[in-house]
Amino acid sequence: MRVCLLLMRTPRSDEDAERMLGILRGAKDQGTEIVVYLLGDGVLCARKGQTGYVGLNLGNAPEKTTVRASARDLRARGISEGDLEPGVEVIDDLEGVFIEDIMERAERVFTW
Amino acid sequence: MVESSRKKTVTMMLFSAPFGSQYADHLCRMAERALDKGYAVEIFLYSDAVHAQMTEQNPKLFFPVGEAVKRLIEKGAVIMSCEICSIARGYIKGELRDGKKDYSSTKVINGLNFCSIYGFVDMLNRADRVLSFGGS
Repeated sequence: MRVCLLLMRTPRSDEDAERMLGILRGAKDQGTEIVVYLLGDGVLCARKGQTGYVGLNLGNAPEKTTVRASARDLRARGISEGDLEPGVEVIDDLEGVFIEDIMERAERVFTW
Repeated sequence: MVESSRKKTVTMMLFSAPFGSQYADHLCRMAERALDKGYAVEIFLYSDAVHAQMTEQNPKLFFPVGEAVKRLIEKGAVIMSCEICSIARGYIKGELRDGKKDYSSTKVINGLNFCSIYGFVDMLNRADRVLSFGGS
């Protein structure tokens, strides 16, 4: 199964990012293919060196996990690609890529 | 691009007011890309999100939500607003007139319509995918 997760919240001002990225751990052993899309403040989750589920899952993502971050929202927050966890894909048209993914490929989509 | 005769529909619900957060911006950008790719888009405004329907929004520095809402309607998006939320915030009266509810208003962007939460359930039944933006 392919699942898309769209995250628009910061990693620290509430528990949502932690909860969402904690789901990755549960999916790890079930063969679920997960694509995480980081939009708006969600791109802050891609910064390297964080603790908790955010750091554990983006820095040490399980197999079959893809993490994509909006290039526009990274630039808006002064975050360069060198500031990101290895493996995070920086996408110019994140909205377009996300829409095609959820409409044509993914079986489930969750937003936070 | 979508080629089937029946377009797939993505339904988006917005809970947060424009300018207080970026959720309305995200929804508008996402909806426009979906329309550009040939998908049908339906949007439901709920709670403080109904402020996205206000005419003559004039943000100096923020994403122009009102202009984006107009453009989405022009491109074919169906945008429905919660009638109770809109009555509560003074956009419409919603009183019965000649057997129909009065949704006339000079404060609401043309082309936007109103429905109850039950209408939103109908939207969910039509949707191939559902996305939510905002809320706490």
